[in-house]
Amino acid sequence: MGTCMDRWKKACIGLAAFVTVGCGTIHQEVMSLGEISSETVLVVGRVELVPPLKSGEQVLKMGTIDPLDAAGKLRDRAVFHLAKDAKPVEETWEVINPKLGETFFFRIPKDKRFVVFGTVTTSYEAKVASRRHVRVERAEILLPRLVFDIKPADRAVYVGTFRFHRDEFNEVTKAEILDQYPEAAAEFKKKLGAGADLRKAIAKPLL
Amino acid sequence: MMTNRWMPVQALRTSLCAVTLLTLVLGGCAGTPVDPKDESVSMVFGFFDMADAPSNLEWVSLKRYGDKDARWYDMAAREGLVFHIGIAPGSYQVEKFGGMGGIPLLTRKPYEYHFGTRGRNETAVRIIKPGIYFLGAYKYVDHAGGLFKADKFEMKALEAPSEKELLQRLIALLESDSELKMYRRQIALAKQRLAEL
Repeated sequence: MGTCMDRWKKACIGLAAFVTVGCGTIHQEVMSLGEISSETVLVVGRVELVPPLKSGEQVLKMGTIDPLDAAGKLRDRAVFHLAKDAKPVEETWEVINPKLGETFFFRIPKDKRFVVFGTVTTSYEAKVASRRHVRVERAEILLPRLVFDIKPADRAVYVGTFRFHRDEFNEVTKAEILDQYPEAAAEFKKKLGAGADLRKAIAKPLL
Repeated sequence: MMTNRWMPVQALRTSLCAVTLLTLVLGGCAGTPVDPKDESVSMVFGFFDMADAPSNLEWVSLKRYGDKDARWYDMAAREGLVFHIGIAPGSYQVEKFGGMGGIPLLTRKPYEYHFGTRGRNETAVRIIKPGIYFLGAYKYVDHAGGLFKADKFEMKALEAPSEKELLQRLIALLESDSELKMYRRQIALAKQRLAEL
């Protein structure tokens, strides 16, 4: 009975982590331009946090098992939820999770150009509260919303560097969108070759 | 940036086996007693109306943020008035609070709530120099989730009771409590602030 209950608890925790972190499709980073179809576009950019996350600042305890590596999807990463329109929602089925401080290369559907919800998770703890109840305690840095400028003919766009300044309460106090195209274009060429143009299409704040 | 500061936060109506029991001795400082002669510490107070909550209010946890190591102070709660007489300088906000609810001997259990853990919440305060700091007055407002959704709640800011009314209550409490009346500096700070209002 105890073993059965332990399994049940582990399953609950795993499910909770999956639902909370892996809700929908978390897009993988693109490794070649061949992965871009006519329905999708490669977005290139960077997310920075100022000051950056300190070592050990993120507490990610997904429970006793984490088969989908939910912690890895959050560690040192931002999470952007994408949608077709600007309607404010907390979670969508299209997600990218750029690594903080590194240039990202994500393939997204062309019609999902609104970043309607963005976070950096600073704390995530799944706890068994009772036989039937797993509760999750989490703390997040809420990121400003954005809109990508994606045109029907685009294959690859550079959306900018999103530099988010935070205070000691983890409130974003200032957001900058920087144009660092030359550096990004050089990384784009090095990573994916010269097979496509990287159009500069700096994202805008979504108010 | 717009924040979801007042977005209802999921009520953590848990069945935790144990909740830290607070001692009200020394103004809610469960731990090292506050030295009445320590002029580096501040008094912090506020008000939580939990009349519509599924539990009473027994404790409020004030968390320190910033470069220093995280630290939590357990604030005393007496009929909604929450306070602590010995807070070191730093940046703070209420992280969690809780109490007991349910029918005694049948369904009684501890409840724990999060005030808001997405950046700064309304209780955020920077204590730079020693003094007296007001966190605000709030009311628990329930938002039923329905059959398949978790219940949510918000802590809605209140106009009343005012800081002045609460200071009057706090001073009366400190002066009448045999364990607290030795904190003359804190009482003086409260009276000084009251005179300013």
